[in-house]
Amino acid sequence: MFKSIIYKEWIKIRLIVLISLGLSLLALINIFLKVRHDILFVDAANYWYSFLFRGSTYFGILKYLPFAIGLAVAIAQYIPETVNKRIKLTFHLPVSENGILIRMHAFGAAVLVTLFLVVMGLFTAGSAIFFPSNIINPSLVTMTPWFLGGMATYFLVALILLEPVWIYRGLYAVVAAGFVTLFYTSASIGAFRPVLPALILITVLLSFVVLFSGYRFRKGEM
Amino acid sequence: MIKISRYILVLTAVLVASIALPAFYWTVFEKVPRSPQIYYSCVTGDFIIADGNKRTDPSGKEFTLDEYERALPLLYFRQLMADGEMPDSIHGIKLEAPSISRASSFYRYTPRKLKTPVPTLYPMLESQSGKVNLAMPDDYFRIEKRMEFIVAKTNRINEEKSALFTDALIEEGFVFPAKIIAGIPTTRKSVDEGYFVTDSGGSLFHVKMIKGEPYVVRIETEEKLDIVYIEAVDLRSREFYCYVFTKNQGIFVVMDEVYDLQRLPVDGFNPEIHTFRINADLFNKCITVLGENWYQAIAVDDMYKVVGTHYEEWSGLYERAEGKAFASIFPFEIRMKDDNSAFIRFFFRPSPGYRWIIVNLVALIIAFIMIRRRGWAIGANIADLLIVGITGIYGLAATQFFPNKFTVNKQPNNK
Amino acid sequence: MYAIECKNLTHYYGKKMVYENLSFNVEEGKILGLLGKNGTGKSTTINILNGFLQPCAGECLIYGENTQLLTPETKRRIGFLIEGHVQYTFMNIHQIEKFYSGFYEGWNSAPYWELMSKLKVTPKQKISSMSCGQRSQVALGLILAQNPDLLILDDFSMGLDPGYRRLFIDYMREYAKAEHKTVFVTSHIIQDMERLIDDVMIMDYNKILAQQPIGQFMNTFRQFNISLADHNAAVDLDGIAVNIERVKDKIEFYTYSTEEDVKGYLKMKGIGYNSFEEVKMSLEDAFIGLTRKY
Repeated sequence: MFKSIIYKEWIKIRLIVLISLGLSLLALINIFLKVRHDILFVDAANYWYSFLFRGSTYFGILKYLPFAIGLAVAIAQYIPETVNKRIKLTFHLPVSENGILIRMHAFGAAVLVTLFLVVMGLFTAGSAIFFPSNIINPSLVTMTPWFLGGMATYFLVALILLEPVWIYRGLYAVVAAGFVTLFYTSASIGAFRPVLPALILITVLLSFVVLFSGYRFRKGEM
Repeated sequence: MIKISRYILVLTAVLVASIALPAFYWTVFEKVPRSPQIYYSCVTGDFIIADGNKRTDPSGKEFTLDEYERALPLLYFRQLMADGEMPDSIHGIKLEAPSISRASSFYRYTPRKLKTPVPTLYPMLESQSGKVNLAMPDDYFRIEKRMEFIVAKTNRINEEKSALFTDALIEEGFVFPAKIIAGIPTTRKSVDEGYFVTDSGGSLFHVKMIKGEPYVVRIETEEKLDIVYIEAVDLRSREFYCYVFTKNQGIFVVMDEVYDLQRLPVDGFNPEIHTFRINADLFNKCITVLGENWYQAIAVDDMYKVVGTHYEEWSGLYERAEGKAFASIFPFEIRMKDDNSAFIRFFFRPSPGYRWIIVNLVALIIAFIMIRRRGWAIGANIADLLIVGITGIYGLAATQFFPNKFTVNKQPNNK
Repeated sequence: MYAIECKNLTHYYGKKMVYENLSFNVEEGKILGLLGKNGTGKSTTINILNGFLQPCAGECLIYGENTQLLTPETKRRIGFLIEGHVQYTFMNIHQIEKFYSGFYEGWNSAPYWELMSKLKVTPKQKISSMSCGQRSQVALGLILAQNPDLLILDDFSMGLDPGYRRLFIDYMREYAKAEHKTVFVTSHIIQDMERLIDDVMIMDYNKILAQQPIGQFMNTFRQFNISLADHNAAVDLDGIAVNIERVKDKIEFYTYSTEEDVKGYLKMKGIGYNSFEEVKMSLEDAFIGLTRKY
C-alpha cells in the first residue's frame, strides 16, 4: 500500500527531482571549479582571507536553489492532485484520509531531505579539499537556513495548494512568504547559529500542517 | 493532529506578524536616535557636547563652530593652523603637529562587537622581518587542541611550526583551547604585535612570532578577570596594546612592553548593552559610556586620574510619541536582528507599560463577536481567544487567517 | 437491507439553501438514478455520500457507517466514479492499474484489461492524451477491477458520445445485475437512463419531485394534450396537474391521475374541450414534464 503511494508520488515528482539534482550538481561543479581557479589566480592565502575577514563566500550560488527546489517539488506533487480535485480519488482509497495524505507528504519530504543532504554532503566533501573546518563549519551554518527554507517552502506550498478556498490560499501565501523570508535574511557568515534550533523546530512542526488543508478539503469548504 | 496543525499555523502567523508589522511601523515612524559626541577641552577644562549642529558645554552654553574649534585645538589643529589661530603651547607644553598626531586616538566599542560570529583562523605575521613593510604569511593558525598552522595552498598542517608554537604555549602554562583570539590581522598597521589570547581557563597571553620563533608571554592580573572581549589597537603613541573588556569588572588596557593592566575609571559597564568611546589627545582621554538614552562622560589625565565627569539622559524610545504609540498598539515585537548583536535570533521585546492591554481587549472583543456571528461554540474557541488576548492584533489576524472551523461528527444513530 | 440511508439531509452554501430534510434509501442490489437539472444538488448529494462534504444537518450512512467517518474496510466496498471520469491522467494505463491494485486485496485486473484491449491506445500513452470516451473506459475498468459492492457514479454520461454512453450503460446494467451490485448513479442527461436504472429519484431545486421504481413512475406519470373549446377561458387545473404548459387553446399537462379522473375533473370544473389525448412519454419527456422546461 505504501509502495503504491510512493509509486504515484514518484511518477509525479521524478522529473523535477532529477532536474533539481542535475542543477544542484551543476551548481556544485561551478562552485569548485571557481574555487580551484581563484586559488590559482588570487593566491590561496588571500582567498582564505576574504572568507575569514571580508565576509565573502564561495557558495552564494546555492542560496535560492533549495527554495526553488522545494517550490517546484510541492507544485509537481500537489498541482496534479488539485486539478479537477483529483485528490478525492486518493481520499477515497481504503486508507484513512489523514494517513494517506501524511504518507504522500512524508515521501515528498523524504526525497527533499535526501536531495538536500546529498548536496550539503557533496559541498562539505568538496570544500574539505580546499579549506579547513574553520572555514567549512561557518559556511554550513550559513547555508543550513537556506535548505531549511526549502523544506518550509515545500510544506507551506503544499498547504496552500490543497486549501480549497482561494481567499484562504491568498492568506496562507502571505504568512508563508513572511515566514520563508526569515530563512533568507542576509547576515554575516555564521550569524544564523543561535536561531537555527528554533528554525529547525518550527520547520519540523510545519511538516504535517498540510493535514489542515486536507481536512478543509474533505469537509467541503468552498 | 488537525487541530494541532492549525495551532502551529496560527502561532507561525503570530510570529510572522510580530516581526513584520512592527518592522513596517518602525520603517515609517522611527526617528534617528540621538548620538552625541563628547570631547574634553584642554582649553576650557570642561566637556563639549556636539549633537548634530549644536555644540554646547555641560551648562548649556552654545558654541559657534569657530569657538568650538578653538576650544578643541588638539582635534582641529590643522584647521587652526590654517587660520593662524593655533596656540604655540598649552599648559606649558609646546604644541607641534607630530606630537599632537601621535597622541591622538579614537576608539569605539559597541555590544555588536561582543555578539558577532568571529573567525577561528588568523594569520601570524612576522613581527621583526627586518623589512619596512609587513607581509602576510601563507598560512593561518588556529588554537584548538593545540596551536596549528595550516598552509592555505595545500590545506595541510605545517607540523613543525605547529609543534614549535604549541610547545611554547604549554611552557607558559597555556590551557587549550583558546577562548578569545584578538589581533589586527592585516598588514596595514605600523608594527605587528601578534595576538592577545585567552586560554580555556581565562588567563591572558600575548603570542607573536619573532624571526620565525614563537614569543609567548603570560600576562599576570591582580585578580582573576572574566574577559569577554579584547580588541588590539595600533596606537602611534605605543602607550598600550589592547582594550580588555570584562563581564562586570570594568575595562582595562594592557600597557605596552610592561604588560601592566590599567583599569579605566568606568563603573557599572555592561559590555552586552553599553557602548564605550574614548577620545585621546596629548593631555586627556575623554571616555564616554552610552546607554540607550543616556551617557556618562569621564575625562582622565595622562596618568588615568579623573579630571571631570558629566552625565546626561534624554527621553527613551518608549517615552517619545512614536514609541508610546507603538507600545499602545503592539504588546511586543520580535526581531530577527538587533542593534546590539550581529547574530540572527528571535529577539523578544515586550512593550513597556500596559497601554497595549486596551488594544488587546478590543481585539479580544472583535474575535468574540466574530465567533458568535458565525455561530461557533465559545468553548471550542477558548484557545483562540487566549491567543488573541495575549498577542493582540497579531493573534486576531492569525486566528482569522486560519479559520477554526471544525465540525463534530456524530456517530450513526442506530449504533 | 439498505446500502445507502440518508436521513434528513439539510445543506446550505452560505445562505443559499440546497435542500432541507431530504431523506432517501438505496436498497442493496438496486440501481438508483438520481436525476436533476444542473444545480439542483446532485453533486452536493454525491459529495456528502463520499464524505467530501459535511451536511449542515442530517447524515448519510453507507453500510451503516456515517459517510463522514467511513472506515477503510467500507471504503474498499465502494467504487467511486468522479464526474467527468476524473483520474490521475499523468499515468498510463499500466501505471494506474499498478497504483490502484496495491490498495485492494480482491483486485481483479481481468475486466480492466479486457476493456483496455478494446481501446486503441499505446501502452505508454498517458491518460491525459486519451479521448473522453477512452478515459471513461479506464475509469470504469478500474472500478470493475476493484470489484466493489456499491458503485457511485457521478454524471458518468458527461462528455461521452452516444456510442460510448450506450456501451457504458449496457455494460453496467449487465454487470450490476450479474454480480448483485448496488449502483447509485446521477445524471443530467436522461436519454438511455431507463435502460439502466431500477429506481428513479428526480430532484428539483430544494426538493425531491419523485422517488419510485422506474416502471411505476413511467406507468403512473402521464401527459395529456387538450385543445380548449374556449380560447380565452381561464383554466384552473391546480387540483390535479403537476405541471401545465399552455399555448393559447393548446394545453399540455402532466399528472399522476388517470384519463378517467382527469376527464371527471374537467367536467366538474366545467371546462370544455375539442380534443383530448394521452401522449406516450419517454423518461426524458417525463423528466421535462416533471421539472419544466426552464
